Amino acid sequence: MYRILGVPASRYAPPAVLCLLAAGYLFASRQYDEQSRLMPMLIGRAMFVLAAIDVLSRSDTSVGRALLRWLNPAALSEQPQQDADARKELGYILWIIAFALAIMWIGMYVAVPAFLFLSFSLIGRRSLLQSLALSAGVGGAIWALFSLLLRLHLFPGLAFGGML
Amino acid sequence: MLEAWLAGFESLLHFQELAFLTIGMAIGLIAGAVPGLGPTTALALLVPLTYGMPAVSALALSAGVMGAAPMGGSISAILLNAPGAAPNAATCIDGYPLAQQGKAGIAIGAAASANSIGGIIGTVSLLLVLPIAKSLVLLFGPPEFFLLSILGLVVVANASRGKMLRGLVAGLFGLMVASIGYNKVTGDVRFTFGIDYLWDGIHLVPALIGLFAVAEMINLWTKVGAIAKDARNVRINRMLSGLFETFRHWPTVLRGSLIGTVVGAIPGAGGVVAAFLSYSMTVQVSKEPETFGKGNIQGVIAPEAAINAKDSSTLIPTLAFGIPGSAEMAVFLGILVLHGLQPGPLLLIQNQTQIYALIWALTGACILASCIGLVLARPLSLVTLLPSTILVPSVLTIALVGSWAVDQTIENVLVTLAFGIIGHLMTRLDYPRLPIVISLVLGSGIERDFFQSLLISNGSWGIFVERPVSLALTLLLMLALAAPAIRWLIKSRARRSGAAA
Repeated sequence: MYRILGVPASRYAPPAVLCLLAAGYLFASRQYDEQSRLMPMLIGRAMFVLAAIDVLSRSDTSVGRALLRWLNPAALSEQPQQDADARKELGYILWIIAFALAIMWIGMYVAVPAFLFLSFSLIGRRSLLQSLALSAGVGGAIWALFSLLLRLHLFPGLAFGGML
Repeated sequence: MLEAWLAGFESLLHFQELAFLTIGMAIGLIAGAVPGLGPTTALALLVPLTYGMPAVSALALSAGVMGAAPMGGSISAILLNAPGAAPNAATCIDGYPLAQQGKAGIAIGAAASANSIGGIIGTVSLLLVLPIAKSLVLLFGPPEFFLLSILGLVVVANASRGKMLRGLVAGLFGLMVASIGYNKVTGDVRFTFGIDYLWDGIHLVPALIGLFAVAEMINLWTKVGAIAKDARNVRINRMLSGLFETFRHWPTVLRGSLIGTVVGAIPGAGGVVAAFLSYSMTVQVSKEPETFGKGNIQGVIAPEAAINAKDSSTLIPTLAFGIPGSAEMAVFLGILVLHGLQPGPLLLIQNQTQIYALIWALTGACILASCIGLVLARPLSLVTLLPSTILVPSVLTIALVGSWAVDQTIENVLVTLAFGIIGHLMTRLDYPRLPIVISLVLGSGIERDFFQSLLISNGSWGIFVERPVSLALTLLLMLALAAPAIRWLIKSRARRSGAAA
């Protein structure tokens, strides 16, 4: 793996992204008048400086090690995460994103039972009957809570007349 | 004060409030017992459900959860060596060995009574401190509030167990997010990129649900299987003798409660510090330190008293200064804001009845939950057998539907999702989440106080050091920023002198 200052380049990614975010935020702040941008400029500059220090503290240099010991000693005992975990987590995150988008497009009446059923059967590896019973139970409880108890009309979905 | 105290008590004595307190306790006991769920996630899920409720009912529900969760956590810690919440980990050290020796009932009984007494001592301390805090906050103006908010942020970042730099970065990220939307000071709309929804800024409740409930569920989903080990063979008896053990070891209860009270009042220190500090102090003063870790009942009493005492005193910085001391309190702040109770000094003056109702409810929940916990110890321990593959989809669904329900805006679901992913990434990349929440809550206030300060001083930044209170806060702020370096210097000097010796 490509290394920068003695550590894999990927170790710098999180603070580097935050540096870029701070730079973008500072750039976006410039369009506002002096009073409106005063606080964002202070926040953005502080963020940029601290994220840059975070980048530096991850390097295997004397300055980096000193910064880490002073400002982030917990990182000294950090364990690298396994790729298999990362792939599994990414899968779960994509599944949740799909659920959120399904709620938006096809609405809660369809997306909620479908998500529950598929999660119980595919991820939980339960039988079809068990998954059906569980999703009906949980979905019914959620419907009763929000629709009956709180008297809310659950979101029908953009495809079925719901509005943003 | 007595009038407000009684009015607070009276406002709780209605069927609706008592019912919500009971529901809150039931949820708190279950959430506290289930490792990975915890009171913070439970509170985050409950926020949208409180939307249509009167403020006192919402406070009673929240107090029920907060007051009962430690008892639920101690049951799973003692019976299954699986702490429901992080602070209960200290209870495992001696609680689980006691359970293995067939003394689970004694340990649970002792935990229940220590919980109750700790809760009462914490509440008494809170009641004593509140009037002082009230007169103290009157000395504060915009520059002091600005400095206090920044100080709170730095202290919380500093308390993130060796992650100050990342804590500060997280706090600043929160301030960046908080600057989105309509600016009450200048009347401008910032960083909305043409999206109407963002005019009101990032909504606090969906963000909190995402940061805590969704992020925790993603973490839990990766741990396949039942949350705890088998609880079916657990035997629970002699709980009554456990209750008396607490009174026999009253110095341990008192010490634990006082440690919990003091630590709880320090923003960011949290229940883990309180529980372990109380435990280690008890070991240090014990005449039989070698018995700890092998099933010493004082090893259960000490952390349990501290955990519940901390719950009340954490309310001091939360209510008086609007600076939440823990993640749980940060979510609770969301509930306060949702019900028009703006955390901060004016809250103690303008909403005394609600605040005293909350204190009463919290104390009641501590005591009642301990009693319920004693009766329901066994079924509660079985709750932990719930597989994460059932729990996670159910909680995720409630989280996303609940975030929509706050104001029936579908964009809230996307905010919850985004903050869920951010929260998960923060956990994975070892960035603390609490500073981001504090920034989201305090962000607009910080900017308002900053502008008002500059208006008062005609643009001079000297106002932040000219007044005695603001000078003291500036010095404290500098000390807090320098604390990690000072700590490192002291440690390395001690190491050097140790090596020389």
